[in-house]
Amino acid sequence: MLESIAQGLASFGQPLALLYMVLGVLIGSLVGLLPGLNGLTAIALMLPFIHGMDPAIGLAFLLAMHAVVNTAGSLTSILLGIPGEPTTAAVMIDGYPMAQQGRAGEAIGAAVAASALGGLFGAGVLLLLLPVLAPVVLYFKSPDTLMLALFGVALIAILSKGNMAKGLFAGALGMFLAVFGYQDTTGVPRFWFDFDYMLEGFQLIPITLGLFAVPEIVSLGTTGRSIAVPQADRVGIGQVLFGVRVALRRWALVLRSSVVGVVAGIMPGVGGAAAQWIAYASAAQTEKNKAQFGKGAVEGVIAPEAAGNSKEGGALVPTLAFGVPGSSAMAILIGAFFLFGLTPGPDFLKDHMPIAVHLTVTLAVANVLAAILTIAIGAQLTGITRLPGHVLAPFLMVTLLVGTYATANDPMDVLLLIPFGILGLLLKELNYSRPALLLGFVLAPLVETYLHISLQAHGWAFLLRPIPLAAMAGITLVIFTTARRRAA
Amino acid sequence: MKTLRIAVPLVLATAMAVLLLLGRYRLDYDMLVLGFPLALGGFAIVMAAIAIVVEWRAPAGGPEKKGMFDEAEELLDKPQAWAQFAWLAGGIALCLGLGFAIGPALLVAAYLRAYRQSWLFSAMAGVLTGGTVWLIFGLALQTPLPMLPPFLR
Repeated sequence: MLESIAQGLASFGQPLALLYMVLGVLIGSLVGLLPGLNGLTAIALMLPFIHGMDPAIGLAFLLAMHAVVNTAGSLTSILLGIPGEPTTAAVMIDGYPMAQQGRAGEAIGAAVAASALGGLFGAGVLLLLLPVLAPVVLYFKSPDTLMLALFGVALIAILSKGNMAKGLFAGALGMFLAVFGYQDTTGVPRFWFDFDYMLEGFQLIPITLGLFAVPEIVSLGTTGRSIAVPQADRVGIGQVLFGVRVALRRWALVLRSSVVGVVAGIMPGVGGAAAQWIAYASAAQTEKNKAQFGKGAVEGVIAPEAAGNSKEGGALVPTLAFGVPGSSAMAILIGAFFLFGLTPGPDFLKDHMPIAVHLTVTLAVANVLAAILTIAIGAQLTGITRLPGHVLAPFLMVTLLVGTYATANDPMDVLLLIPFGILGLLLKELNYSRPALLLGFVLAPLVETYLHISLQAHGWAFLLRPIPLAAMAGITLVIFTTARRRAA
Repeated sequence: MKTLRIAVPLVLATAMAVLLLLGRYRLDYDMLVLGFPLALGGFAIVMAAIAIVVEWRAPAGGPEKKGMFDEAEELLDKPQAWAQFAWLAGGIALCLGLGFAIGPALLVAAYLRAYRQSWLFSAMAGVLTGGTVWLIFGLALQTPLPMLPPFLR
């Protein structure tokens, strides 16, 4: 094992490998800044270019690019209220209000530091698990994934502060929106009414951007005011570094959220969006300044960022150990393995451990590089928040339209921005929780699929497994403490 | 506003109920397919009913307890807010009709000019926007974003 680690480090240290990793970080950061393009698209776009490369260098290039997309994606979420990635929507909930208060630099610094620390944690866990990957992954069964998803559903109760019935209605509405299209376990398309687009159901991007970005653009265009309050100080690198220090001081939150991210990553199919929302809602439940969540709490930026980046380390676990992709981007990465004539799985770890080590180290270093890059450009970009709303609004509309279309090249996604935008504005104005709706939408397919699988495989006895038992205790605790707090 | 507070959950809950009834009696889904939506829809309808009762009892125009994440700005009463939706719809029509180089350019130029920016600034901003989209998405990343109008492709 030690010999493999030494070989992996030597492979990572080659000048060409470092050069391609830096290139990957730069491309990944650009992709992250552009709404609509995500890590998945980035890997798919760059796949043809790795032909002929050394396998370790080519795979590390793709991984570095994918690993840093979230870090840069949080910039647009914080500064513009438009998620750069579907997985950075949770960061927007507190990041954007911070920008409105003139604390964009602090939010960026905290986000970047949490991303880097989360990424390092994910890579560290992966490195530690490399020798014992198989039994760890095999331990998680469908009921465990179901319980993680149900735990996330219970967190809707937390996200629905204010009128509880309205919040729960929003969460249920979000879950209901996810039942359109093919049902995973039976293959029957639901409520599609002979309309091809609905075979796949509603997509995350038009819903996220419609619910969150459109109402903000409407607000900017209507009021004409800038995103940041006029009296806000200019943001310098000092404010960004202050944010970094704030995140470092909240190391326990970073650690907790990173664990959420890693676990979500290890479980195939859970996805980065779910990991971020679960980490966010968990922080909203456990942090001292609960009342500030949604109004500019820095903890609301730190938690989802740490979870989002640590997830990548977790997602590599089943990818390398079994060739089972931990996320959709990992599925394309497996394609890249095949291009090099490699097959991920137990034999891969036995025969090509240095490549696995190279990838793990790349994951860690790329996250640190992306953090440095984002800190360097973040302070400059905050000037956007001082532009008048009437000047900024058309550019945001263009970003929204291009980003939405570029995701799947489907005009229907763009057309759906209008109804979901109107729904978002209505929910915002009538005080229904939009995050609860989105969390419901993200988790519903997981709950339904794993409920069916668990029942078919184990019957109701699946509830007696250790992880489901622990999760049920957690869910009860969440509901009980939330109800007690409201009563108080 | 109070009417809207009651109408929105009512309309959404009714839509869910109609879909579920269609699924059961028109589309003939079995319970394996319809069970999950039925449970969700049932729960949502109950929550909507509670929300409607709460809104019904609330005094008209009275202060409402703020939600955790959404600070209302009372935009619904302002015609300018709906004008922004018209701009967005216009932008969609331009992008889908003229492609993602010309469409965004026209949207930005027209919007800025409508909000009293100078002709020169509006035109330059439009050209710059269209050029940037083409440069990044068309040339550099070579995404399949349609840059040209359908009749020129």
